[in-house]
Amino acid sequence: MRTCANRQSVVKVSPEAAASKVRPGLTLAQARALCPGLEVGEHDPQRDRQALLALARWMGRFSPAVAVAPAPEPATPTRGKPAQPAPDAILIDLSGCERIAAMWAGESPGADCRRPMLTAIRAALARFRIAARAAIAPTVGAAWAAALAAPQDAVILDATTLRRDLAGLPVETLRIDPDLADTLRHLGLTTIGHLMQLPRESVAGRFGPLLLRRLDQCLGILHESIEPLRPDEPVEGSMDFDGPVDCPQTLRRAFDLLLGPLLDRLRLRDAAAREIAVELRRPYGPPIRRTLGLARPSRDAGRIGRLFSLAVERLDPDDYANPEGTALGDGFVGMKLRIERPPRVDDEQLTLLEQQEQIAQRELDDLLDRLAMRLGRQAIVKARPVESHRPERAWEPQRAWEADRAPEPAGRPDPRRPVAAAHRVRPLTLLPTPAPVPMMTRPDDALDGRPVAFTHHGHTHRLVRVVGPERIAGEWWTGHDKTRDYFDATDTEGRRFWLFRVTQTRRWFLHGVFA
Amino acid sequence: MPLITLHQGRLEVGGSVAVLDPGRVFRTGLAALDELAPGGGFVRGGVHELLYSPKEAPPATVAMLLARAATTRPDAPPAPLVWCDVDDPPYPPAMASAGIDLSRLYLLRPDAAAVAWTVAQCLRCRGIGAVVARVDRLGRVEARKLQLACEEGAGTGILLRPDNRFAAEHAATTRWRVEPAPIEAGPAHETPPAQRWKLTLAHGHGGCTGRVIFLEVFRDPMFRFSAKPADRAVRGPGQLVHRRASPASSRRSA
Repeated sequence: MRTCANRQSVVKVSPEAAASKVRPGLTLAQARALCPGLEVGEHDPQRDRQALLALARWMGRFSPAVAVAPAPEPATPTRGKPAQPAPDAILIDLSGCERIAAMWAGESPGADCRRPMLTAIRAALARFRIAARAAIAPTVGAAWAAALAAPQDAVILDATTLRRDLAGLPVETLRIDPDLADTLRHLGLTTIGHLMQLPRESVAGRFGPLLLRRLDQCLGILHESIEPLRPDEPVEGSMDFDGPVDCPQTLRRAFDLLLGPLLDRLRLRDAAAREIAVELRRPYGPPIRRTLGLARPSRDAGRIGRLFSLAVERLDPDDYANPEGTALGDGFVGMKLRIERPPRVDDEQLTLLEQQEQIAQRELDDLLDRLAMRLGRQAIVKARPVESHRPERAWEPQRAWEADRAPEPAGRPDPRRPVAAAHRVRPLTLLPTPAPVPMMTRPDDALDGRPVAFTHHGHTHRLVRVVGPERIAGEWWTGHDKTRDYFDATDTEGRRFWLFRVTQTRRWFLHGVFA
Repeated sequence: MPLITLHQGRLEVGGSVAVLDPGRVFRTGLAALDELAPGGGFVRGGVHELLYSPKEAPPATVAMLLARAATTRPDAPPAPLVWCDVDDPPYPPAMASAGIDLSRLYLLRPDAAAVAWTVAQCLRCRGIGAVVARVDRLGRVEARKLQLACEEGAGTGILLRPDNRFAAEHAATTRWRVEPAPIEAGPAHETPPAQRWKLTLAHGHGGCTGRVIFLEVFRDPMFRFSAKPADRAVRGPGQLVHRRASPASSRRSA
């Protein structure tokens, strides 16, 4: 039922109500007169559409290409006439999905599995208590016509007998304007077969190009593609403030109000937010943009809200300066949120997160998000071992963000990754670049000389124990052809150093301190 | 009448400390070091400070020894470890050699103004096993905040603090002064350690303040630690001879 001013009219009817002659277009009073026990509900097209989108996404388990039928285009553009609402139809492209269907049906991959597929789809819809008509056909138009014409049975049309099967179906099933269908019916053209017998040019000339196009699409003469739903379609929302807002608490309140419906939409899609782009519009000057990133997808409004508060607190004062150089005390006049590429998260996953053993992990994720927001993502790294002979190249920082997003599979170690060299003695403090040091050496038979004392930062260290050398050859293939002889040396006061001599130049360097 | 108090998970009866919850205390496995720590181990959810001379490099090895013990769990992978430093982080391959799981190690590099905030955030998080941080200056309020954050979370804070004029302000459970110590020539049949530190308990309940131990690390096998009290001297294999602890002897041995 739709309420328009003080008139309540029937929009859609159930089969039971239709049996009592209730039909769309009647007023509520007329409908109640026809069927006294009528149950009515307010028509909310937007909610219906969202539910249909959610169902279409759920249908993604049958095929990756699922689309919601677009709104029909009128046969002739007429002014003042309300546009036809989009039909409640879901189009599924099943080509190439035979193997999955065969797996369900327990048959060999070569067998015709359209029937078990259709049965499975209908059973799934029946579980949701959704009354639906379904058909499988070689073209979108044919499937549409077959589904509309045969509401009770699941129809499957073959490409070979398509023309014959379609010939008996009524013209209303051609996705055309009801007025046009009435005209055709009035002229005695009641079935698609009648239209097929007419000369093509007269069909186009008399009834407009749409009818011919629908007929061609139905028969496969004209190609028709469907626009599948993108699973990672961004979710966005915006809000304009009545006046400029510069108070962080008010901005947070507005953010929460805006975020709630977006998270609800994600929940319908079984998705969660991982990156939220926030745009704060200013009355003058370009908007300020911030990205709230989460280590793990979440639909926790509180968690995302805290990140927003951190971002607002840390807004760069330079951002507030307008081109004239005066401080902008005008605040913000609007906010826009956009959740990019929301990944799918199963509800089970979120439930698991609630369990005791996962609480620590969740808190760690929250912590990383907060730290990244305050310190920047580059300030939080994990160490990744690298296969390199040169000690300073034996590891590389990897942003914790990326490292945690792509966790390596546990179990068998990757043969390309070097195992931590447990037998090698390395200092915990490695200088960023080796510091050249003047070294006093004493002659040695086997070597070019053993270190005795060196000076660093004006302090002379007399070495009492020297272990080495450990020879590390240069990576000549990267242009570093110097060979280093490393020594582990302890001075008289107990300090321990890691020194090396370049064999080619005989220069000494301090590379690390065992602290 | 015995005085019974409950303090940070430890039941104290008339001055003697009984450990109420073993999960609240971790041990390094070095008996001499653990015995010196109040309550027979290092308290989880507490801040432990390592003081070092500003002329020396921060004692990262001792910090790593404590962090490794704090993050080790009996039947689970090690808890995450955060190492926070405004300068370059410790050399990860050396940490891997010492038994730190690099996949559980987070290296943070905050600016100097954000160190205290960062450490407090990490300590408050129950997902973190231990936080090692070099903190050059810390006020009394910030030190107390860190201790409270530690008690709120379950992790252990290990702060590397230079022994400067700011070092007097603290709220730590234990404080240790760490200095490098020269290696004395031992008996010929014994493998000399690769490095030695002198650890002095500068603060901690339990009446052991001022006691000194020597922590040694051996080259073979890698990162084999040993700790021995300064008032004991090894005379022969397996024989320990007690010696009176006196400032003079500890100075001599240092």
